[in-house]
Amino acid sequence: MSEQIDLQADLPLREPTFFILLSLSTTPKHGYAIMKEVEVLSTGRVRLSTSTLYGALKRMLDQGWIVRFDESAATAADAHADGPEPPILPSDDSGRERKAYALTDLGQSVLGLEIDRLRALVSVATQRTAGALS
Amino acid sequence: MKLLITVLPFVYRLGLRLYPRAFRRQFESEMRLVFDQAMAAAVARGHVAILLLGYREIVGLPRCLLRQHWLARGTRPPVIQGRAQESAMIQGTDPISPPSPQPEPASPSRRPAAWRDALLAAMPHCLVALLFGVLGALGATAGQNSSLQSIADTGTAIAGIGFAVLTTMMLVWAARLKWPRWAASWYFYGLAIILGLILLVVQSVTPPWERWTEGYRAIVVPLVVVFVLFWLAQRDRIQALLIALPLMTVLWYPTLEFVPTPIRLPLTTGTWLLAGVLAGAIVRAGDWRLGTWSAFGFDLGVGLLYAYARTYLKILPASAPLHWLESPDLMDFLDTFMPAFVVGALLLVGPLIIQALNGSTGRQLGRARTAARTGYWLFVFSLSLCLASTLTAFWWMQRTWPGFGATPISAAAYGGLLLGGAAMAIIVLVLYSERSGERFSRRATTGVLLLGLMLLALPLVLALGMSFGWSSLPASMTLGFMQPHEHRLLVYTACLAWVLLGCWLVTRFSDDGDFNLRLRGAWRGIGSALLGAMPFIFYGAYTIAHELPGVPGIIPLSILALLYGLVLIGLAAAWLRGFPRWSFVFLGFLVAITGSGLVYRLRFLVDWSVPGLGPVSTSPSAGWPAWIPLVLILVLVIIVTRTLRPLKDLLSATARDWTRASFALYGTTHWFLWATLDENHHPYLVWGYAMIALAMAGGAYVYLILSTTRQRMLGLLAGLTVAWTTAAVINAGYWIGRQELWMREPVTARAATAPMILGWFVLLILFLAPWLPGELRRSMQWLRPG
Repeated sequence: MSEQIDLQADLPLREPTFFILLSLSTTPKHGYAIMKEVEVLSTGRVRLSTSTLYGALKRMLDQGWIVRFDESAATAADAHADGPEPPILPSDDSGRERKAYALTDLGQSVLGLEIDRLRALVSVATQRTAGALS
Repeated sequence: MKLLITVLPFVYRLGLRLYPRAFRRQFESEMRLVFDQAMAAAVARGHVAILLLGYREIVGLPRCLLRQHWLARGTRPPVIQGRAQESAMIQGTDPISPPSPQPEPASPSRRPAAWRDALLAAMPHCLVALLFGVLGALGATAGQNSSLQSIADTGTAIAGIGFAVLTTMMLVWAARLKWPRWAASWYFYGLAIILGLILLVVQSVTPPWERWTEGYRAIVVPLVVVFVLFWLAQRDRIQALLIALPLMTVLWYPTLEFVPTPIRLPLTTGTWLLAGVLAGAIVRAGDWRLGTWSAFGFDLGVGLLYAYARTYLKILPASAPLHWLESPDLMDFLDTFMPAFVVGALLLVGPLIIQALNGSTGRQLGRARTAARTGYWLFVFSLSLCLASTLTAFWWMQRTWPGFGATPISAAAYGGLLLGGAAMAIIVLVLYSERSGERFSRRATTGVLLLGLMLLALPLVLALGMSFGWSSLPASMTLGFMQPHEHRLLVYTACLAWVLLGCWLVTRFSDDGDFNLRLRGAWRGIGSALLGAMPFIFYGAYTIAHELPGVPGIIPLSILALLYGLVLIGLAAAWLRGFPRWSFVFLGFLVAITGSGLVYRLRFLVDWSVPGLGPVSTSPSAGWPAWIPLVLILVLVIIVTRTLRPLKDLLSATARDWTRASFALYGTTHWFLWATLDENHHPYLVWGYAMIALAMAGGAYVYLILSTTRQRMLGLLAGLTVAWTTAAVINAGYWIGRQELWMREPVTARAATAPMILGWFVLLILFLAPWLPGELRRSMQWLRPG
């Protein structure tokens, strides 16, 4: 309960934060994949610059909402684990170190709470305006 | 468009360089990769997409930079946290739980080197000793023999060029070896060659001894040297020691003027030889603590010998002034020895102190690193200006006697910078002690405070000379900035104490960020208490400087400007920290400064010709521009924090504890005190201002250091009462029996004292008003039965 209350203090989320969490809710992703996914999810309305993206990622890392890992480490860890196939991450032709981001349980909770909050808002608004708009 | 495709990534990478180091370590390569991918996609889509991408990245950059720099202060470098999370993820542990603190990688305090490295470190100084010995002996033997003299001159030129070539080759080799430790012995000569070549260029475009040349010698060269020292100390303390050795030797050179060649030659040759041997020994032993004490001993020994030779063995020319011919005494010896010794010790100890502050502790504390560095630069710059003013005064003396002494402009600039440095150092002190109080033991806090004080002490000691109106010595007196004076022994003693304590302090630090000091004391909360007292000290300095005869007007105005800046910075910090208790006095000062017409005195900063609109003041010149810096600061902090929550914190904190309102009111009281002393010209007025400032600062300090409300209020009232009584006594002493032109009769004792007593009562009521109702309510509850 107290954790819930603490998480409530972080709400409402800013739009870029919400979309970044949402984009990571299915599979871990690289920075560029997150950028593209956010653009798609927001139907082109939110276009992140790299500065905004990594500023937000850093904040979320510090808050423990997401984790960052090497592609190779994740692949190796998954190879030893019984479970679903590891997510296929885009490869990097330049050979530079690739990092991916994944949602933690805490991040999942925050996203869930925000979705509940938005759902409640929409529900209230729908009820209130149902008569007026119909 | 091709140009844009080429330039945009370049600009983007430049922009990335502006992020905090820790952020860059964590994300730079990844951000570049993502940008490259986005760029490739934009190129495929066309020109508009490229322009949009460039616009998005460049427009978003400043805000993110500001935010990241702000977040980077006072927190552990994120890279550590990121790494902890990564390893936690990989090891399968809980990534959400806070990672355990990871100590900074410790650099070993003792890294012995091979004999070859030691020889390479010793080589340049030994070569210089050899050249000095051979060529000096040849020159001395030549005497009036012109052919021998020309051989000596040619030999000197060839040896100089050969040494320059050798130095260049050694530096190139050192660069290929990634700058090993021994290379620092050669840096000095490389630096000397570069600076000498620039001097030649400067001299060729300006007539000799003109302002540019002197400015270059007196300001640029010292600053470059100090920069190199500082930079090396950050990399490796032993390298800083290696470059300090020849520097200290060179500082002693002017002392040997008038010393006969048979004495001077063995002294200089021996000194360079000793420097070489010592450099080799320091590299071989690889112990920077031992090295620090050795370098200190070297400076002391060489200085004593040189000063002795100068004082007792000199042969003066026939044109020397008569008082030079008087038999020398111990004070003459000290006058020769101390200034150069202190400057040399500053070069040795100063960078090490900064290294200690900015080292492992600084990396962990984070917040104060930049401030510490800036404070140090300001100190160094002020010292350089002091030296420059000495030189300027010397040339003025030659042209326009009796213009002997620091010029008004250089003195004003020196004073301003010195005070700026002092202010910065105080801020550093407070920040360090506050931060260290959270994470380190009392011993650690004490160590930080002592180091910070060391940083502050020497420039202020040196400033005493200026404060007491001592003029500068001529340049021939070895960078002397202390005019012989009856109290100079005090200054010398203080300088010596600084050097010894500084050496001891910096060598007491271990490399893992722990402070091995065994001092005790209740330091908790001292940081915020000092911060709260600071504005009163500044204001006291302003009033004193304003009243002191002979002080250029720019000095008090600079102090006032500094105070205004301090208050604004304090306001910003208070906003970011949710208006802690200390910040309330800053609010009081803010109201007093911006609204009382004091800003009228700051009009020298800009041409404020817009009259009126002073929100509180009746002064027609206190216009709206006074509020611009305040508005800018507020806008900035709101942009950074993106919240108005601190305002709510301010109100709720005041509601919880109404003495905070009293404390804010306390911050405006100095203005009332100043107003009561208007037109007062008592001979002890300056001492009165000092007393008032100390009393007010003491009251604020006590208020912040104590824990119960009653004690706090008593502290405030005590401060106010002492300050007010001082003002009343000075007013009584000056006004009773005095009759000015506008007065009908002489001032009576009653007329002089009654307004002061009344004023005290009014302020007392105002102070108690926020606190008394709550106190009465609590008392009633306590009295209620059950």
